[in-house]
Amino acid sequence: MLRLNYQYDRNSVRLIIQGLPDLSLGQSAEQIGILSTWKLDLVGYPTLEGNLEHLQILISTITQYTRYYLSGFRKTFGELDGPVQIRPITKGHLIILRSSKENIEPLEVKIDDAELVDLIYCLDSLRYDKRVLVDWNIVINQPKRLKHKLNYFYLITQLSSPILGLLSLVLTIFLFTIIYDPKTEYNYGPKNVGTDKKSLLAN
Amino acid sequence: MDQMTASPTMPQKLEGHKKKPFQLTDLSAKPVVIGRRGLERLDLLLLVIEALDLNASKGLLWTSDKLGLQDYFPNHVELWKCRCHNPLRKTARRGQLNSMQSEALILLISTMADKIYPDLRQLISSKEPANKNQERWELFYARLIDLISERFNNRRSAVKKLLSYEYTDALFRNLILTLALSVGPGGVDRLRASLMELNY
Repeated sequence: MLRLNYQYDRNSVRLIIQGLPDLSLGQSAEQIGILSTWKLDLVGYPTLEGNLEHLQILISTITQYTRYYLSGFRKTFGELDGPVQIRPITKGHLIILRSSKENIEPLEVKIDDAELVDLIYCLDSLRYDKRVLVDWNIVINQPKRLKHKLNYFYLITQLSSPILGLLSLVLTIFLFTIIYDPKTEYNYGPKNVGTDKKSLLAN
Repeated sequence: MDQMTASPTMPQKLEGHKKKPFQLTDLSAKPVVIGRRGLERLDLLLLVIEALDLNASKGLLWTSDKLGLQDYFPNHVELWKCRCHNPLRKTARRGQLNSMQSEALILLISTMADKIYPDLRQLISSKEPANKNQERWELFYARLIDLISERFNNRRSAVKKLLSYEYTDALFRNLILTLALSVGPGGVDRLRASLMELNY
């Protein structure tokens, strides 16, 4: 049986997948149902390789990150010790790839917006390719109340003015209550105990 | 080895749309209702396309024909009427776009973004020569500001804010990035989701 290779290119990114049709499911000779290996070339970095699980995690992480990035939301995606993690940096994005083999340092890939767009294009092309019948198991591109649910910075900036106003009002009232007023008579002790004339005479 | 030169799904859609009219079920299962801010964004994205491609007004119609969207945008006037739902326009129309028109407009923007992708990439790439890139941005700013001041209601404070430099810089970069990420087979879904998010 011939092994199938499909290639997806976009400027600085090239993704190659290899696999076989799953004949038990009645797939045709041009379709890939069993993905054996994949290779991802990013200009300036060594070739990345892995198995199906790694590719699923890569696609899921990058796609979700891009989706949120488009909505202006900057957040780290991917588990801290997981195989793929992506986070925004000053001028671009940092992808951290951890090998499943021991004693191998994580690979850090810094890409700019243009390279992110190239990468997501290749991953999308693979996901939407009707010749590749692999379940990517991704739920994305659903509109969400991002700003209200996740963007705490947005909430803080929206609520900071009324909260500050309320706090300053409370502080002002409190200060006025503790300021000493010389015109007011303060009686701290028990009232008229032994000081008025009657009580003195009685004594 | 099979070399992929274009997106695997988009050409199929285009071919399919040549004969049969555009159908909502082709793209999204749920009806798309874009709110006021989404309509502003859609129109701004179309203006960005026009700023980058001087022949875009004709190109939009040709692409619309190619995609099978003649029923929605048979001529410049119908396209203009759809864009006039943007409340910031000089001649704004009340109401919202219906679901089909919204889908058609999103598909049109995504396809046009694919056509001008080399220009978009140059603008967002950090590896281009800095002075050359600065020139490109300045040219793009000038064109887009011209288009906005020509077509939008300049007396509105929202439009004045659009034209103020400190706000414009971040907004225009965001618009370019949005167009770049709208390219490709997954771009339509991404753009639709981001526009619908503005409803909330």
